Amino acid sequence: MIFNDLVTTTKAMQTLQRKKALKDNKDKQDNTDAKYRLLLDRANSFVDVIVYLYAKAGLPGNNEILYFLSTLMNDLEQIVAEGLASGEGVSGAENSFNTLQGIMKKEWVKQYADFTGPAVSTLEAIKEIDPDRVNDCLEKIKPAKMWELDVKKFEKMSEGLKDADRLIIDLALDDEIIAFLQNTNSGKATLQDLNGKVLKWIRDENLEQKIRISFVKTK
Amino acid sequence: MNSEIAKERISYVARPDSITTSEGDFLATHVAIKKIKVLDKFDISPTGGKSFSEEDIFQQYICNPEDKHQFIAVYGQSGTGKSHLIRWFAARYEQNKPKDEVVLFIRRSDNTLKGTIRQLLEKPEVQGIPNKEVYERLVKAAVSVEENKLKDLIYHSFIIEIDNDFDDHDIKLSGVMKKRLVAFLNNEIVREFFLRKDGPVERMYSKIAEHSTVDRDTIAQFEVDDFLVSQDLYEDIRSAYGDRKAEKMALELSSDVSGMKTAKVISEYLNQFRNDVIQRCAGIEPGDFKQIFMDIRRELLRLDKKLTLFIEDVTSFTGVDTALLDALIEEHTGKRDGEDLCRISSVVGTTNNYLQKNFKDNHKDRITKYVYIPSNVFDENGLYEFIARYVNTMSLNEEVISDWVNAYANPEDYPVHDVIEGKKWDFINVGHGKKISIYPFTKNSILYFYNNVLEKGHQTPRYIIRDIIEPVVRDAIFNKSHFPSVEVKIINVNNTLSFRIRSQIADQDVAGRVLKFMSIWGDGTTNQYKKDDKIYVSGISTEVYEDFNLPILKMDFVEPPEEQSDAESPSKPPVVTSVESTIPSAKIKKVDDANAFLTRWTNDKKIDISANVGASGTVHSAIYDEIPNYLFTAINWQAEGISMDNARKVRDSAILLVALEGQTKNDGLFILPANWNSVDIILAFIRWKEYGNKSWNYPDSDFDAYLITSWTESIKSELVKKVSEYRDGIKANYIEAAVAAEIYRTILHGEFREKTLKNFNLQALLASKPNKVVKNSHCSEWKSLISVMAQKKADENNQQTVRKYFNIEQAGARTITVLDTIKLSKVLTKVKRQELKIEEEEKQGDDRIIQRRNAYTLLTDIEERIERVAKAELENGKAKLQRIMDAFGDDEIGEDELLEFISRVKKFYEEANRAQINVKEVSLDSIKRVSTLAKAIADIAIVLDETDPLTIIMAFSGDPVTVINPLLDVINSMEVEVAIARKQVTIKMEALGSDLRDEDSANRYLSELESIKLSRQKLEGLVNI
Repeated sequence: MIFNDLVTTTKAMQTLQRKKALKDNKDKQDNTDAKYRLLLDRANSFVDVIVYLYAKAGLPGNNEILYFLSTLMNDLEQIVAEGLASGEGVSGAENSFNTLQGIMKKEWVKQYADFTGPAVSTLEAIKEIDPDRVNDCLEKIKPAKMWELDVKKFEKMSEGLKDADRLIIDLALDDEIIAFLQNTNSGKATLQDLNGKVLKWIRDENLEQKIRISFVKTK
Repeated sequence: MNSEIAKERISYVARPDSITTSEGDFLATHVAIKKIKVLDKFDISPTGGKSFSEEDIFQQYICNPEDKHQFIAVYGQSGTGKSHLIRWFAARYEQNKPKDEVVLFIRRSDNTLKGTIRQLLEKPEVQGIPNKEVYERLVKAAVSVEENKLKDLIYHSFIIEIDNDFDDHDIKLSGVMKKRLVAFLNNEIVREFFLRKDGPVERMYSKIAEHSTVDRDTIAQFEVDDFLVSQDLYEDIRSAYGDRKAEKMALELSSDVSGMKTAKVISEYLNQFRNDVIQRCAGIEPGDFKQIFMDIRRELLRLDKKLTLFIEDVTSFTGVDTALLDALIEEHTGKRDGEDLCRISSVVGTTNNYLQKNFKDNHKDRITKYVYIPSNVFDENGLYEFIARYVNTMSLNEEVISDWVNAYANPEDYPVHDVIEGKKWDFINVGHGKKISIYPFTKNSILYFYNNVLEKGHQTPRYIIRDIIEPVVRDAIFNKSHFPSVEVKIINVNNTLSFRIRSQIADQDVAGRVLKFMSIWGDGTTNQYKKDDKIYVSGISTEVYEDFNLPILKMDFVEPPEEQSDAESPSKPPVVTSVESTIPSAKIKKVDDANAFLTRWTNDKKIDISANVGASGTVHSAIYDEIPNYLFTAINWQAEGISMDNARKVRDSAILLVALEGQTKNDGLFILPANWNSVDIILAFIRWKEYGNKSWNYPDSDFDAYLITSWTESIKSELVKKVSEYRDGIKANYIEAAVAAEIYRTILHGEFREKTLKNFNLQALLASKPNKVVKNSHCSEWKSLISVMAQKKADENNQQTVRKYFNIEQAGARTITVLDTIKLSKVLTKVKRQELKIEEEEKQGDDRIIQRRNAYTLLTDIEERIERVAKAELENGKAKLQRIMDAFGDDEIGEDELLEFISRVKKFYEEANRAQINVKEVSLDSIKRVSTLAKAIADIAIVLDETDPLTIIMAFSGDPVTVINPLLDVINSMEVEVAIARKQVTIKMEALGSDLRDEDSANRYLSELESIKLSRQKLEGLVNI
C-alpha cells in the first residue's frame, strides 16, 4: 500500500544517501577517525595521569576536572555511537579537551608546588650536606613541574620525593632544624626561629654566610 | 325552353365540335362572327387593323371571284370556332358554287390518319380515281392492335428510326448521343414515362388510333418539355441500375444548364421521324397519301372540274401534313412529273401553334391569305344570342329545323320554339323581331359562367357549349328538382345573403341551391323590390324562383333599379361588374373558393384540409391558426381553472382545438359538424383574416364578430372541459410527472446535491442555477440518461412546463405573472412524499395531447433507466473508493489520513531530492482541499450498501468521483514513482558495493568505545575513593 510504501522508500533513500556520502568521503572520514582516535588516546592518558595522581600519588582530587573529564568521555562515546565519527564532533571534543588541558595546567602549577615544595626546599637547605643525593632527588622531582600526559614523569616525581624523605631521615636532623630550614626555604623564617639549637647547628655546619636576614614588608 | 324536345335533342345540338352537328342544327345555332382579321403575312396574335365579318370574307375570298389558285389558312386558338366558320363557308359556298366546282369538305370527326383518307375517298367526285380499291382496302384495314401495344409500337418505332438513322435528315446527332438516346428510351422507367397518360406517345397515338379522346387540336409531335428529366425521374432511373448510357443521358437532361438545350435538340431530331412513324404504325407507307391526293386532282382535271377544298383541321393530317401541304400549294399552272392537276382553292383550318411550328417557311410563303379568329369573338349580346340560339335549337324538333334549312334557311324564317318553361325568364332578340327565352339561363348567369367558369383562353364557342350550355341545360331538364346542382364556385359570395338564406331555410341542400341561384342567376344581393306588380328578390322575379320550386325568401326592401333601355346599353364585351368593394378581388376569390370548398364538405360530410394551398389552404389556416388562436385568447382559461400552460399545450398540439366533421388526417377536441352554421363560422374567421387582415376592419365585420363571439360562448364550456381533461372525467395531471422529472433532472445535473429530498424546496425547483461544470466523471449510463433527457430538448421543455404551469398571468399584462405557490407546494409535497414515483394507475402516458404526454414520456424515460444508472454509478464509485482504501490500508479515510498521506509524499520527494533519485514530481495541488476530498469519500462510502436508486443518485449528484479522481491520480502516480524510486535505490545500492553495505559504525569504533568504557570506569573508581 502506497501509504506505507512511501515511508519505507523514504528510509531506503535516506540509507542510500548516507552510504553514498560515506563512499564519497572515505579519506576524510579516515582522517576524522585518526583525529578522533588521537584525541581519545590523549583523553585516556589524561585519565591515567589523573588516576595516578589522585589515586596513587595522593594528590587531592579536583571535582571540576573530574566532571569535565567525564563529560569529555561521554562526548567521545557519542561521536561514534550513531555511526561514523563526524569531523565536527571530533573538533568539538578537541576543543573541550584543550580547555581541560588549559585548566589542568594552571591547576598543576599550584598542585606541584604544594605537593613538592617542602621536600624541594629542604633538599635545597641540605644540599651542602649531601649534594649528590640531593641533586639525584631533585632530578627526579623537577621534571614533573611541567604538566604533561606522561604518567611516568609523575611516577618519577613520587620516587624523588620518597628519596628526599629518606635522605632527611638519614641526616637525623632535629625537627626544629627541619622546621627552620623549611621556613627559610619558604621565606617565612624569622629571627624567632633562631633558637639555640638552630644557631648551634648553623655554626656547626658553617652556614652563617649562606643565610641572609631581611625585614618583612608590612601590608 | 321545351324540355320535352330538349331532352331528345340536347345530345345532337350541344356538340362542341360543330362539324358533328347536322346541317340544320349547325345553321340554326350559327351566330355571325364579326371580328375576323385578314392578313397577308402570318402573325400569331394580330391586334388592331380592320375587322371583317364572316360574310365579308366569304364574298371577297372564299367565293374566289378571280378563279385563281389560292390557299387560305384560317387560324385561331383551339375552340375559337375555326371549324364552325369553315363549315359555314363550305355550306354557304355549296349554295353558291359554280357548276364546275367540286367542293371537298374534309372533316376531322374521324380524326385519324386513316379516317382522313377515308373522307377523301368517300367523295362522289373521286369515285373514278385509279387504284381506288387499293386505297379503300388500305384504310378499311382497321387497326386492331390494342392500345398499349400500339403505343409500344409507336415508341419503339422511334427507337428503330434512331438505330437506323444514317444521318440523312437535316438534324443530326453524334454516334455517342444516339447510343445514349437509344439506351435512355429503352430504359423501363423512361418508357413508362413516355407512355404515360397525356404523354407524348399518346399524342402520336391519337393520330393513329380509331378512337381517341385526346384534344383534336393536339399536335402529334415531341415537345421540349417531354425530354426534361426531373430530379425524381432521374433518381428513379439511377436507382433502377439500368444502362449507364441511359443514366448519363438522363443526367444531362436533368441539368439546369444544358438540359433544356439537349431536350430541344432531341425533340427536334425525333420529330423528323414523326411522319414516317405515324404512317408506318397506321399501316400506311410514306408517299401513299400524296399519291392519293394527286390522283384526286388528276381525276378532277380529267372531268374538267376545279376543286375547292375545305379542311376543317389540318392538324389531323399529322403524319402526312407535309405531303398534304405540298399537294395543296401545287398550282394548276405548273407541271410536275408531267402530271396535269386541276385548279385548287383551299381553305384550311389550323391552330396558331401548328401554323407557327409545323408549316414550313415555303408553305407559309405560299399561303394566299391568313384569316385570324380572335379568342373573344363574341360581345355581350353575341354571347346571349349564341346561347339563345342553342336553347332554341334544342327546343325545336329536327323536322322544323330541316324545313327551315330546306327553305334556304332565311333568317326572317328562323323558327322560334314554343316556350313551355321559362315564360317569365329573360328573352333575347335575335333579329327580325324574333325573341328567344334563354331559360334556364338569365343574363346574369350567362355572364357569370362566361367570366368565372371558363378559363382564360377557353372563352370560345366550343367551351361555351361544353362548359356552360350543355351542363346547365341538362341540369335544368334532367335534374330540375335539384336545379341548380352544377358544380360551380360562387365568386364573392355575399355573406349576409348566405346567412339570411340559412336563417330562413333549414334544409341545407335547398339553402345551398338558393344561395347559388341568387348569387349566379341573380345579382347576389339581399335586395328585394317590387316592380310592375312583381316581386324581385336578388334581381330575379319570384316567378322564376317558382319555376324551380325554390322558396321565396324575405330580403331587404329597396327601391327598384332604373331600367336601361337597350338603346342606352350598347353591347359590350361580357364583363361582370363586381360590387363596389374596398377588398381586393384576389381576397374575395380566396374566400369564395373556401366557401365552395366548405360547401362540398357539407354535402360530402368529409374534408381534406391537409394541403396548405388553394381553398384547402385557406380553410387549413382557419382551422389550424385563426380559430385556435382566437379561442385561446378569447377564453379566460385561468378563470375556468385551467393553467395557461395546459391551454397553450393543447393549442400547440397536433390535436386541434376545433376540427371538422369528417376531417381526414387530424382530430380535434371539439368537432364542428358539417353544416352551414359551421361554414358560416369558418368563413367569418377567414374573412376576419383575409378581409380585415386579422382585424374587424372590413365591411359587415360586425356580423362576423357577432357570429364568432356567440359561437365561442356556445362551445366554451365543452371546450374548457375537453382541454382540462385527459379523458372523460379525468383531469389532466401531467404537472406531477413534470415536477418529478424536473427533480430528477436537478439531481442528475448536480444542481441539487443534498442527500435527501427533505430540503428540496420551491427555490430548488424553480431557481435557475445550472451546473456549469462541463466535465464530469459520471458513469456512461448516467451520461446516457442525461443525453436521452435532452433529446428534442425534452428536459428543457419540461423545465419550462414546471416553471410556467403555476404562473398566474395578470389580465392585460402578460409580462406580470404571479406564482400560485399554494398549488405548487401541494404538488411538490406530493411528489416528494411519493419519492418521485407516479402510481401506474395515475399515469396519463397516453394523453393524446403530446405536449402534456411529454412529461410522462420524460419521466418514464428516466424511471426505465434510473436503476441501471444508480447501479452503474455506485459500482464506479465503489471501485474507486476501494482503490483509495487499498492504497491507504484503511477503510476509514478522513482529513487526518489525507494530510498524513500528503506529508509522506512531500517527505518522499525531499528524500528523493537529497538522494538524487530521479522521480517525476507529482503535484499535490489537486488534493490540497482535503476537507472536500474527505467529504466526497464519505459521500460514496455512505451509500456503499444502498439499494434505493434515488438515494444513490442523490449521493452521486455532486459527482464525488470527480472530486476523488485527483487523489486516485496522485495515488496512481505515486505508486509508479515509488516503484521507480525503489528500483533506483536498489540499483544504486548495488553500485555502492558490499564493503559499505554491511559496515556498521559500532564495529568500526569498537576498540575506541572499549577504551572509553575503561577510562570511564577508572574515573568512576576515583569518585568512589
